[in-house]
Amino acid sequence: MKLAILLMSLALVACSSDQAPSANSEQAASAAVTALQNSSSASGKELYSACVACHGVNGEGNKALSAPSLTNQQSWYLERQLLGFRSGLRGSHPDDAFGAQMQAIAKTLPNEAAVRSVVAYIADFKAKVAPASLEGNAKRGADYYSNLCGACHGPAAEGNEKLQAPALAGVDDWYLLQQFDHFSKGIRGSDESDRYGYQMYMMGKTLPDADVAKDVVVYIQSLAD
Amino acid sequence: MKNPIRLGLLCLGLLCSMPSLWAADIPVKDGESIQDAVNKASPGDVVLIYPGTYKESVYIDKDNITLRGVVEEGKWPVLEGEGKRNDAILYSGNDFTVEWLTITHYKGNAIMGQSGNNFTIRYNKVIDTGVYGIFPQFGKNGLIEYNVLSGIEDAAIYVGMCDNVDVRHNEVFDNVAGIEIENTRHALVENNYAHDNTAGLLVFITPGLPIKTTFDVILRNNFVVNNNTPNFGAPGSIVSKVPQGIGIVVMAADDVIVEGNIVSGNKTAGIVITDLAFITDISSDPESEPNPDRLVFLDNLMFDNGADPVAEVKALMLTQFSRTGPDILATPGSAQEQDNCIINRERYTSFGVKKWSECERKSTADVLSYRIPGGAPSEPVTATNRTKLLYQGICAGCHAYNMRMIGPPTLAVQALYRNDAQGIADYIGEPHKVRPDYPAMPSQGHLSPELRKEVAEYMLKVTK
Repeated sequence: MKLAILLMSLALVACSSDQAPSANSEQAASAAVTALQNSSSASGKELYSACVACHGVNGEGNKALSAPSLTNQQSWYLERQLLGFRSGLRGSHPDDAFGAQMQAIAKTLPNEAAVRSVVAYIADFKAKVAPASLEGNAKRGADYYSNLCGACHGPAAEGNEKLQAPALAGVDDWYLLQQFDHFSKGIRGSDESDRYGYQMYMMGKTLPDADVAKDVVVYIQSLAD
Repeated sequence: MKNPIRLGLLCLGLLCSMPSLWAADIPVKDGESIQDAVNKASPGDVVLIYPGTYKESVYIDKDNITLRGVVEEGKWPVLEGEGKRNDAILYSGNDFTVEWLTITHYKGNAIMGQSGNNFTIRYNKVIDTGVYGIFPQFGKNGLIEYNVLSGIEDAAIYVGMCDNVDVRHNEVFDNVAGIEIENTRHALVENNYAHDNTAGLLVFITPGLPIKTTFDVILRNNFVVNNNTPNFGAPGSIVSKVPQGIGIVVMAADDVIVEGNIVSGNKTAGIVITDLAFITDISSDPESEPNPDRLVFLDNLMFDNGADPVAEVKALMLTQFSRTGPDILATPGSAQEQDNCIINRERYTSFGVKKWSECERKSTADVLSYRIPGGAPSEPVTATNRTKLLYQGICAGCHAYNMRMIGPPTLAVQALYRNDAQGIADYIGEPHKVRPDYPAMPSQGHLSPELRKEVAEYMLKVTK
């Protein structure tokens, strides 16, 4: 019995830690870099073609490549993140392998105008809620969400631009959990010059454990249905 | 008056507490400003407010001021918030009295005290007024009596983080919470009529506040009837989680005595005794002990409670083959332990009281008041305790450390404004609404920029 529990907890640890990007993922990321390096287009649509291999033709994402859907993320937030990747505010931590991929790609975008045009192109995708992939105690998640998270992300996890808090409802649950884990461990946001990231880094310490974080994400997912 | 003996007697009669014997009456007539009169007043003065409509917020930051309405042939002075002002009366001075006023249509509080001691709040009518009706916060030694309050979306009478308070002869109805005794010690709640609220009387701990305990509370000879109003608290706020149909709630508070109340017609339960998990799982304040200890339940008249309990209570009751709620409900956990006691338990329908012991104490007749004879000493305000007083007296009324009370939790504010006390100081001087589901923050512009900065720095350092 003890052995079974030990094995289970080892399995949980293995699942919760970030896996390194697969060969497919690495290949797609470097193809994106090359494509952008060779492109001279300013069109959002043409720039986005470099993103398709991971994020999908319609921004639907690809869990196998750890690429989140983009259709439920607000334009102001996507723009800030792309600029953050470009400046190195995001994706510089040694344990953030997928972030490093995105940083390399974002840095290859020719300029900030290109960032804005690709974001504008994504904004025209039809919003579609990412499918639920986690199970947990949504009631407990609601309790923590409304007491702590909702103060910035809003009662329906719809986001609050005034506070620069992005919408969470509809974003892939596995991605939210991964990013919360990154915030809580300082893999994302722990650079003090990342003003908004650092806010989440501080809030990342306010949930008692990973189980509660999962419950919160399950609750957030339920808000999108 | 020149006779020294008479003067001495007068002084005794006034408990010698008035710094000035030349106390003046300052009349305010319809069309004039109460605030102007308060600004002119000296300690000991009485501001007489004549019938009329007064559209203002009144701040009282000096000691020993009385605001007294003059009611003439049924015509009252009315403080009218027009749905846009936050507070009607905000006092921080000691020895403050407010009486004979009608207060209506404010967004936040009708009467809020911010760390003033020796307060008297009586003979007021508070109607459809925001979040709290009468809300003394962080004060010692107070009397709240003969007030009538209705239509408040949180607590009609909210005694928060106080000591030695008597709450008696009030009527509270059509509110979410009738009378709340929260993080408060030594309170006597007596002869009140709490009806048609979501819940009638509540004695509890909110974790994450500067004062961590609630104990020594007597609930005596109250009418607690038909508290079945659907909860209309702001969605997401703590109070919005109070189930409807409860006469009395004792949550995490210790040494509460319940005696001589008439509790009837409350559809979920007559009285619920519970730990903090009743409202939230977030009870992670290591200094707020989450269990209700040593409840004393003496003779009370209870009947016709539990006719249509909320689902959670119904589920509990089904475990003992009943579909109706009980007079007395001790929720699973410490509320059912034998440190709580009861007499004549056979009279009531109940859940979870089997292990309760028999009370040794049979009456509270020896307690006439919990106020401090001679009054509480005034807190000397020094440079070192000033910011702490400001934080506890003002900010902590709405901001708990790690949970949503009225405003966002302190730790979210700390994340948003790290290293930016000035940002908080500027915001609270002229707040604007940023959260769709939270009430707008009231302006603290009556505090000087220096004080706002000081208290902001304090807030950024709070750790529990």
